[in-house]
Amino acid sequence: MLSTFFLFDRRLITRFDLSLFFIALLIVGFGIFNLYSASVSVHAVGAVYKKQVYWLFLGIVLLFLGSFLNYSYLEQFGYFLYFFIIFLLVLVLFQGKFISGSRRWLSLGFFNVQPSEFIKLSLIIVLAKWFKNKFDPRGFSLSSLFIPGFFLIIPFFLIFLQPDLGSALLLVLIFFSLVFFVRIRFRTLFILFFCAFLFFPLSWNHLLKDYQKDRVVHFLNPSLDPLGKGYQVIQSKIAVGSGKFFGKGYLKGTQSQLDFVPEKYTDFVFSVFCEEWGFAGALVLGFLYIGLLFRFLFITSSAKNSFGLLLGCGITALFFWQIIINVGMTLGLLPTVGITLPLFSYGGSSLSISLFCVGVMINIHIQKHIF
Amino acid sequence: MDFDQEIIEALSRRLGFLKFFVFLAFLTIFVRLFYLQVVKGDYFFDLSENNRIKIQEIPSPRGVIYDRNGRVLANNTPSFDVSLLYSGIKQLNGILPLLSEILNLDPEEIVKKVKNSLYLPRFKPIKIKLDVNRKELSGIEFHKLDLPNVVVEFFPKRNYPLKENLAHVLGYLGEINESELARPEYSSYTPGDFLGKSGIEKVLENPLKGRPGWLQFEVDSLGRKKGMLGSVEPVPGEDLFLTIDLGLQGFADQALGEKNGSVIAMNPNTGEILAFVSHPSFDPNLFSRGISFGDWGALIKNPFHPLTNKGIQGLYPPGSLFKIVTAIAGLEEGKITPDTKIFCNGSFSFGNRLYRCWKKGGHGTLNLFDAIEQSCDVYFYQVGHLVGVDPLAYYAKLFGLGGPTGLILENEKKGLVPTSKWKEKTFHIPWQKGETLSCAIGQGFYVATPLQMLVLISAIANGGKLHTPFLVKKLEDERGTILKDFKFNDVPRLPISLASINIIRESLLRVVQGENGTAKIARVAGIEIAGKTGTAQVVGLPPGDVRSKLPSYLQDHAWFFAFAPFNNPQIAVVVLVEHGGFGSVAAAPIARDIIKYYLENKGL
Repeated sequence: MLSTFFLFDRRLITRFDLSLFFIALLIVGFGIFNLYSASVSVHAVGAVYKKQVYWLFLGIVLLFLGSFLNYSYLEQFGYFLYFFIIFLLVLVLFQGKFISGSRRWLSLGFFNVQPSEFIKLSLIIVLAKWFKNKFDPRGFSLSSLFIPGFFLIIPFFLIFLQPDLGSALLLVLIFFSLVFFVRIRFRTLFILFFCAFLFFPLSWNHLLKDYQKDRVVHFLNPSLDPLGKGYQVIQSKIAVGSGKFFGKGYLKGTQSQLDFVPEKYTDFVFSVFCEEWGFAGALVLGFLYIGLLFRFLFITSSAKNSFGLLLGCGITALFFWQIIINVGMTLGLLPTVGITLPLFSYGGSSLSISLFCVGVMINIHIQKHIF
Repeated sequence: MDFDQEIIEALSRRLGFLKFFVFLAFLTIFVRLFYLQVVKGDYFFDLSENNRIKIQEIPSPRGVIYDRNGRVLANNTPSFDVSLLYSGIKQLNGILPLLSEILNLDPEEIVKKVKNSLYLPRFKPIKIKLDVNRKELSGIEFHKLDLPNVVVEFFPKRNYPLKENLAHVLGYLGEINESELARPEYSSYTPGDFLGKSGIEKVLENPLKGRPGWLQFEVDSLGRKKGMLGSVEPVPGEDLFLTIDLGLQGFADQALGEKNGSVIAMNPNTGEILAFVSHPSFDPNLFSRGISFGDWGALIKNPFHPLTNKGIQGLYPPGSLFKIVTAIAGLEEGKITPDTKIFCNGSFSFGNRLYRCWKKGGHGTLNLFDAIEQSCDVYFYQVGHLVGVDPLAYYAKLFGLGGPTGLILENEKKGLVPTSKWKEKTFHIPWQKGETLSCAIGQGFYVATPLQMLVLISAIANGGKLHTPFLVKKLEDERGTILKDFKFNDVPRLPISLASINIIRESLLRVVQGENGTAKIARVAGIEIAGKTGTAQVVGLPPGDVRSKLPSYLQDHAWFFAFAPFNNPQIAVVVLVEHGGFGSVAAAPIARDIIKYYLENKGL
């Protein structure tokens, strides 16, 4: 009776991917426990973990929405969604809330949203749709990449201007992940490299302003900035390493409790976890993420149509790059850019959109058997 | 639909590769985690403890330096440093404008200081400005709440009440540099510490510095104290008593006045240095909390080298002072007796050169007493010729020339005692007999420091004992307990007959008291002073030229050394006035006044 109310038959409910659902919830649960520890220090900025719990409720609603709403609607309304979020990104530049040097948030009264989080999925949708329609078994040529290139460049610049270099670069990574996945002609690849080779010195000398150049130079070589990002990385590495094998114990991480770990709710949340739970805890969390990604790939491989396959592939790439870049910078392997750990870091927009993505993956799984 | 199936088939084949890619990426992360947490875990754990536990140093007051009578030569006054507990660029940027305004520093300079000390031990606050003035201090205190990680640190600053006077002996402090930090004897120091850089401050750094205390507490990243863990009280440095007599020191400094050179006085029976002056001097207070760039530049560029201690680092030809050595060599070698008579007609012809006496018309017939009294060059040319260069060098070395006197201060110059072997080795040409003549009157290759000459005259005064001059009498802790007493060590007499010494003593008395003495100017009623004048040539002159026409920097150096009272010597003095001209005119009156002052005030 209930199933008919939701316009789904019983088979769909039984096909619901419980394993993926629980892996995702487990990661979010760990994340909230971790945020609790990160926020109980003497001068906490409000109860961050509580806000995250509220967002979790919204996120679970979005997860179910994603699970049971046929993803062909996403394909159908893909362009509309994309341009709507582009509009929001433009709005952010003029109306956005200015927090610590950049405009990233749109204020909706009692909470703020971050449109740059939404554009990630939206870009995946339009690219999947476009690549599916124009699929060429011999690989894509330069001219056929012209339109998708526009899909990328518009939000890229809008986000770059906020400025949020991390999110902007993430869009580029998603784009090229998909382009390489659908295959690109060798000649096109060659031309792209050649253009990039020409474009960089040109834009360096004529397009970029000095402060933007500074930002790029520091991004490429953080040791030039020992007081800022270099300091963050040192403190993060100390936090991670000092956890040793079994960690210092829950609520006992001195690095994070005493505020030495920078951005400990968002970018460096993983170092808080590593300090308190050690190598053992990091392995558990790592295997949860591996499980999540492998489940994503399994679902992707069994998608019932090519749009679903490309969509699944894009979402997997989105999660993969965020995890690798965030953890990589926490461990001092990659330069510091503001990218959060999906499902784990604090952030309402990020958490809800991530859970929605998980829902979409479950949806792809459910629809496998419907023809 | 068929086409869609084709796409799916084409793409599905690539998914296997993606799995491998994910696996590889996570493997990298796990390896890195293993490295950080398991391999280097202990290292990072220690670092995190260092972050958590802050150890604040409580500086130990440096030992006070007193003169022989307990009058202060160097002590400490309170001063305040402004430091920063670094906790990230955001905090720094937040306080930078206010901090730079209060301290009147360029923001760039503050950032540079922070950058330079970022890799220092975490527990040490970064010094932003040393020795802030009252206005800056009250500014910081007033804005305390706006400057959460800025701390004011108390520091006992070194103070030298005598300023320029005695600076070369006391020395000065400076911030420890990188090469010093690398040395094992400074292993307990950390960057930013001050230590003795020269003089007594340097050589007795260890007893003077004391042991700093510690406060250990837990802090958060802003440096806010969260709980006390322990503390250790500082141990003050040991107090030092020098042999210097402050009264005499001040008098000697005044007596040399604006002239460049050195005045040293010591007790000829023990080697205790009573006064030690080197001009020009510098104010060691300038160094106490780091010397400014401008002050340092001025000291370095000064053509008269104020940082050089001329008493032990200035090398001058001993001139006529050396005639004492030549005379003793002649007597001891049996080449002359006190009655050996030589006729001086104003010059002495040797080889194809004419060696002139300072007195154009000549001295006539002289015995040894007359020759020393009137400082006849011709007499000593001949004595030198009879003795020969190497025996002369032997006696010069007996009296301590050509080697360090053993004073506690660093960088003492050895001077030079030429021998025929030395010349052969250095210039690869044999010794010329004529060179011996120049050496016999203390010119030629001979150079010595004022302190060496003082030790020499003291040995004549005390009947032949070569004492090591010393400056430090005793070390005491802050309660007055004597920790170390530098007792005077008696030494055996030099292998020189007392008869020869007494002949010289008699002659030196006549230099001052005799009818024709060159230092009649040094006479003082009621005190028998014995001494010798000297004039050290800076450049040789062709016959007929007049020295007084030379520019001042080519004028001769004026020497005088003396002891008194003659029968029971209590003080020996050496005076060297750079470019002062005749010793009798420029140097002897200074020594006379010092001796008079000392003997008159000593009994009081």
